[in-house]
Amino acid sequence: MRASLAIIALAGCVHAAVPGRFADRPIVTVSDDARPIPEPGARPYWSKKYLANVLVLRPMWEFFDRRTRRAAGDINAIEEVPDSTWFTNRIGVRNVSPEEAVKGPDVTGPPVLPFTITQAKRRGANPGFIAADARGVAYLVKFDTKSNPGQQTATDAIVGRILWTAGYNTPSGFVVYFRRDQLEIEPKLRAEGTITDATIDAILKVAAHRNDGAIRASASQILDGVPKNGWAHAGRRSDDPNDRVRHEHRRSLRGLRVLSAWLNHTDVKEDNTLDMYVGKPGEGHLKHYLVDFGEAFGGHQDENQQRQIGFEYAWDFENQLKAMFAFGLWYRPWEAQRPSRWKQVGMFNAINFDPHQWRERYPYTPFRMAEPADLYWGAKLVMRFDRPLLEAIVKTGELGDGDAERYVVDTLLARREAIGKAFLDGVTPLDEITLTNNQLCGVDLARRYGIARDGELRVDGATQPIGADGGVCIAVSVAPGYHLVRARIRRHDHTTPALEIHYVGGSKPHVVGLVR
Amino acid sequence: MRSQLIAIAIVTRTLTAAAQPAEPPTPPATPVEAPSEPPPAEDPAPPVAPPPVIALDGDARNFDVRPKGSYVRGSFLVRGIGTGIGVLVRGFIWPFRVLINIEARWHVLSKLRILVNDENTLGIVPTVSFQSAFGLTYGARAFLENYFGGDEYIGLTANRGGSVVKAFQLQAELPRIGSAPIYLKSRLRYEENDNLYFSGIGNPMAETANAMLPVTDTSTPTRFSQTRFLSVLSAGVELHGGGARVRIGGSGIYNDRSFGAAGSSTTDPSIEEGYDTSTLRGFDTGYKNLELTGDIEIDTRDHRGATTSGGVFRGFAGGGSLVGSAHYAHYGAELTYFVSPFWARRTFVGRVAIEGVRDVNNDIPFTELPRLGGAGMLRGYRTDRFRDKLTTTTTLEYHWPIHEFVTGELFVETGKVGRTYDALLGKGFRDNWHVGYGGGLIIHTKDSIKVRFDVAYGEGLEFYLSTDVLNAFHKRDREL
Repeated sequence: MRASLAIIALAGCVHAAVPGRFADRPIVTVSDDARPIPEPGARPYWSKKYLANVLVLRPMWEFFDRRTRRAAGDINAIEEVPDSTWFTNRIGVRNVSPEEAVKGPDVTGPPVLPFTITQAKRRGANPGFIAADARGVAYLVKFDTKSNPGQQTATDAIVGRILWTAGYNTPSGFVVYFRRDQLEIEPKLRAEGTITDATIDAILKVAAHRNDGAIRASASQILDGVPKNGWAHAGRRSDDPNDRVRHEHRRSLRGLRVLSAWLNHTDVKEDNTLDMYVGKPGEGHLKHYLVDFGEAFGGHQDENQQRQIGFEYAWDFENQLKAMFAFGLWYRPWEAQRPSRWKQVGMFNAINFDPHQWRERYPYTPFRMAEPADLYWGAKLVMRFDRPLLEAIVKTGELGDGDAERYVVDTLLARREAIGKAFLDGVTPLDEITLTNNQLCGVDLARRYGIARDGELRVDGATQPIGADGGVCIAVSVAPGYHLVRARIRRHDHTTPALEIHYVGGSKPHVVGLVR
Repeated sequence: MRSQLIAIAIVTRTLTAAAQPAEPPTPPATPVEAPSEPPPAEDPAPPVAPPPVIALDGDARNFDVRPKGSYVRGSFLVRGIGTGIGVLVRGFIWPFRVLINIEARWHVLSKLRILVNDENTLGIVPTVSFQSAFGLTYGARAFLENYFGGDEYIGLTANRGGSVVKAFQLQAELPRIGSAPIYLKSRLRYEENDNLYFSGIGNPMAETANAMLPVTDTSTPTRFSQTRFLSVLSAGVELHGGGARVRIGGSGIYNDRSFGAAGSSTTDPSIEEGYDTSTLRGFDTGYKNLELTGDIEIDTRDHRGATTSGGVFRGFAGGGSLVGSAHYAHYGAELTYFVSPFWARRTFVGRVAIEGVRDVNNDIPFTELPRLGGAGMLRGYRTDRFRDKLTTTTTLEYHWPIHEFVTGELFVETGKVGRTYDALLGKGFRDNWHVGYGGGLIIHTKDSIKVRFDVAYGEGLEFYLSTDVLNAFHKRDREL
C-alpha cells in the first residue's frame, strides 16, 4: 500500500521549477552576430530528405520525446528579440509610417524598362527569368498563372512589405507591366543560344496578360551578396560561428508562425529562406532572408486546388488520423473554404480562421516549437498593423479593384483580431512595464487592442482594475534589493499564466528581467 | 532553386558591377558664406538615443542564475516514459533516416529509372506488383509515351515472380487517330504460370480432398500451370457530350493455352492431386480460341479519381469460337453509381455486375468460365475462387475524405456463381451467396485512382493492391 502510494505520489508530483535571477545590466538591444567569418559554402538542400524529416520522422519522435522543447534562446532580458542579422525591430518598437512600409527594403526605386534577360527560370511553380533593368539593377521576374491573374504578383509585393515592416529581411519587390518588345535578351546569351526568343515566348505564353496586351509580373530585386542557400529548419549552421542559437529555438522564427497564420503564408519551408554572404570574402557575414511570398493569402490553396492547405499539414498525423476514424462524420473546417470573389485574391478569409489550428503546408520546426511567449511576441507585432498602414501596403499589390483591396484589408484586420484573441492571453499580456514611486505600471495589450473587455491586474495578492486603454499601475515594494513578483491578469472567464517580473529597487527602481 | 540562386548570384555580381554608374564629377568647392544674421535660438537638442547594448547571439538574456527545472511540464515519471518511448521511436526510424540520406545524396530512386529521358516520354523502368496468395511480381518495362505528341503508348514488359514464371508483353495504344475520336489498342503476350488457382466449378466452400473430386460442385484449393499466348486488338470511338463520355467499339481476343501440373513453389496441392483433370474441359488438351465482342462504356462520373456523383455502365457481348471446334456466347454488364446525399465526398457507391457464357454442348474450357474472387469481383475471396457459367456481384461502398488525395472506404460485397439463371436469380436466388466485407484506402488525384489498398474478409482475410476495384471487366482481355 505504501509502495503504491509512493508510486502514485511520484507520478503525480509536478517537477517544480526554481526561478532564475537576472543580472542588473542594461537590456541588450543588438545581437553581435555580424562578425566577420570565412565565406561558407552553399548549404546542401535535398527536398526529399527535408520533406521526409519534417513530415514524418521528426513529428514521430518529438511527439514522445519532449526534451526538444525549451524556451527561446535569441531573446533579451525583457523577452524581446534584439536586432540581428535575422531580425531588425521596426514596427515592434516604433511607429512605421505608411510611406516607409511601402518603400520597404527598396533603395533603388522600381525597375526602369526595358528588361534585358540574363537567365531563364525554368524550375519552380511559376515561370520567370532573371533580368536587368535599364539601370543594370537585377531582378527576378515572375508571372501569374493564367487561372489566377494578378494573384501571386500582388501577394508577393504585399506580403514582402508586411514582413519587412514586422522586422524580417526580405527582398524588395514590385508589380510591373511591360510589353513583349520591352524584353531583350543579353547578346552573349543570344549568341550562345542559351536563351532564344522561343524560350521567352514559351515563358510568356503561360503568363497572364492584361486586356491591352501588357504582361503583368513581379520583379523581386536580386539580393546583395553571395547566396548560400536556405537556413536549416532545425539546428545551427556549422560553418557560421555567428549562428549560436538553434533555429528552432529562435523567437524570431517561432513568432513568424503568427505572422504566417495572419497572412495565410503556408509555403514556409527551408527553400523559401535564403542566407546571403554580405561583405568581402573573409570579412563578411551571413544575413538571413525570407523569400517567395506569392502563395500567401490563400494562393497556395488556389494553385493546388487543395482547400485543406492552411488547416492541415500535407501529412497531418493528428487531423488525418482523426478524419480516418471519424468515417466522414466530421465536417472539417476547410471543407467550407470557398474562393474569394476576385481571381487576384486566393482563398483568403477570416471565416474559419483559428490561429491555434492554422497549419503551414510542411511542418516548420520553429513553428512547432513555438511556446505561448513566442506566439505572444508574434501577436504583438501583428497587432501593431493598423488600417492606414495596411491600406498603403495593400495598394502596392495593384490589385486593380478597389473592392478587392478593401476585402484584403478587411480580411487582414479580421484575422488580426483573431490573432489577438488567440495569442495575447496565452501569457499575461502586460507590456511596457515600468517602475516609479512604489508603483509597477504597465499596459494590458488585450485591453489596449480591444480584445478583452475587462481585466484586473493581480500582483502577489494585490489587485488593480485595468483601464479601458489598458494602462494599469499597482503598488509594489521598491525597497533596495532584488525583487521578484508574479503578475496575472484576471478576466471574467479566465486568469492568465503568471508573468515573473524581476526588478531592482532603490532610488531608481527598474526592471531587469521578465519571464513569460 | 539552389542552382538557380547560385546562378543568380553570379548574374548579380556581373550586373551590379555593370550597373555602377560612373562617379559624378565632384562639384567645385564653393566658399561657404558667413551668416549675415546671428543664428536663431537653437531648439532644445533632440533626445539622444541611448547607445545600443550589444551581446553575442544567444547571450542577451542577462541571467546571473539560470532558472532550474525542466521546461517540459509534467511529472518526472510521465516525462521519463515519454522520453523513453521517444528514444525508442528515434532508434526505430534511424534506418529510415539512413535510407533517406542515401536517397537524398545519390538519388537512387531516380537512378532506378534507367534510361528515362527528361520528358518521361521514353525509357525503361522497373515494375513491381503484389497479389494476395500469389506473391510479388517484378520486372521491367520499356515504354514510349506521348513521344510524338499524340498521347500514343508503346510498352514492352518482362515479368517474373508471383504467379508468373516468365511473361513478355508488347502493348500499343492510340487514344485517337489524328483529330478523329477513334481509339486503337493492341497487345501481344506470352506467359508461363506455375501456380494458378483452381478450386472447382460452382459455389461450394472449400474442403480438404480425401479422394479425387469431381470438378463440379466440389471445392478444394489446388494449383496448376499454364503456357499461354494472347493477342488482343480493340478499336472504337470515344465521344464526349452532355457531361458524359461514351465509348463504343469492339475487341478480338485470341488465346492459345496449354496446362499442366503446378510448379513446386506453391503450398497448395497440384490440381491432379485434387481433381480428375480429364473431366476438366480443355485442361489435358489445351485449346485455342478467338473471341469477338462488341463493347460499350457510358461514363457520367464527375471525376474519375475522387468521384462523388454520376455513374458508369459497361457492357460487352459477343461470341467465342474454339478454333476448329465449338462455339459459345460471352456477355457481361456492370452498372456502378455514385451519390453523395449529404456532405461533399461522403459518397455511397452501389454496383451490380453480371457475366455469363452460353455454350452448346458444355464444351467451354474451364478457363473461359466467368469467375469470382479477387480485387475486381468479390473481395474477401481468393482470385478466381469461384467459377461457373454465370456470375453476379453486388457491391455497396461508403467513401469519406481523409485527405485531398486520400479517401477512406468501407464495403460489403456479395456474389455467387450459377449454371443457370434459375439457379442464379430464380428459384435458387436465396442460395449460395458469398459475402465479403472490409475497408481500405484509395490514393487518387482528382481524375485518376493511383492505388487502392483493401483489406477484406470473406472466406479468409485477403489484402489487395489495385488501381480500380469498381471495374469488373477491367482486365477481361488479360484474364485467364
